[in-house]
Amino acid sequence: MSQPVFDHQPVEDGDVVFDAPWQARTFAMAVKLNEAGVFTWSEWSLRLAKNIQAAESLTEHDTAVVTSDDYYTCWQQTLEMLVREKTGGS
Amino acid sequence: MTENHPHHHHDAPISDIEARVKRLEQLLVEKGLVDPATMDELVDTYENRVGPRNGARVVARAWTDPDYKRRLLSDATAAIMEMGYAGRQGEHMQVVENTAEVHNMVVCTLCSCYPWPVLGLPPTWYKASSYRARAVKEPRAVLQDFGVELDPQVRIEVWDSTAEVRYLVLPMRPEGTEDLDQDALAKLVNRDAMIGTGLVVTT
Repeated sequence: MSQPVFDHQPVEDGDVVFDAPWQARTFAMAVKLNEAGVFTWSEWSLRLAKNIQAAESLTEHDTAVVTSDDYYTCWQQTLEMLVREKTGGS
Repeated sequence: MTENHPHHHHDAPISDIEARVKRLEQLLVEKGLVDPATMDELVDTYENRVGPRNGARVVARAWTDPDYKRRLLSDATAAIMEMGYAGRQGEHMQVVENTAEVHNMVVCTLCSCYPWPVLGLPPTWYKASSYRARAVKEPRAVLQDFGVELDPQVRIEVWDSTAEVRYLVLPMRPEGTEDLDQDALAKLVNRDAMIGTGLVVTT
């Protein structure tokens, strides 16, 4: 283990890191694909930003990303697009 | 009689996204691109091991060790690594210091760039459309929403994180903490103070 183990880390003020298990899965997939060299993190951020921007232009801006669910839905969409482009998968 | 119709499910959006995530994971596992066990480990790391206590220790050290503070402000990535915090999204760190004249606040206007090794994953509000838009346009009003009332003379600097640079705010050390050691000081430092949407206070 390269990471030192500490006391249970907050997540302050009742925040949870992931609201639902699927959010953790899609998060982990993106990090792992980046580490596997499928895409760079700059590339990832750029594409995620584009998808968030698209969501924000479709509706009243401030209502586009409000919950963790909204955010990770954009995340998953980004991941699906990049996987399709980079690996030719469906 | 839709109630009894076997194909009539109303749990659409969430179950749809769950199915999409599951499908993608299966595909990536088949391709040998991800391993579910290492994904579990990664999730555990960010749920339980890496979070703002790391950043709090960096801040407390900077408050008590002037040489460390100098190193932290000149080469944050290296100084943070000295404390054992490194890795994903901490490759290019910059620390910005709050003073009596300047209050710093961090946002990622485009997505959600954030210094994971010292703060963990960002809170939901940091990723929300509203914060990302308002932090730049009306930082003082945003601070008020967080319950932070700054002296009107204090200048607010807003730092926009990118995939290239991640910021950590070095908050002001509260008055009356001269006798506290690093551990006790670290306990006072909260996440929002290191994003710049809060202050460190003694209770």
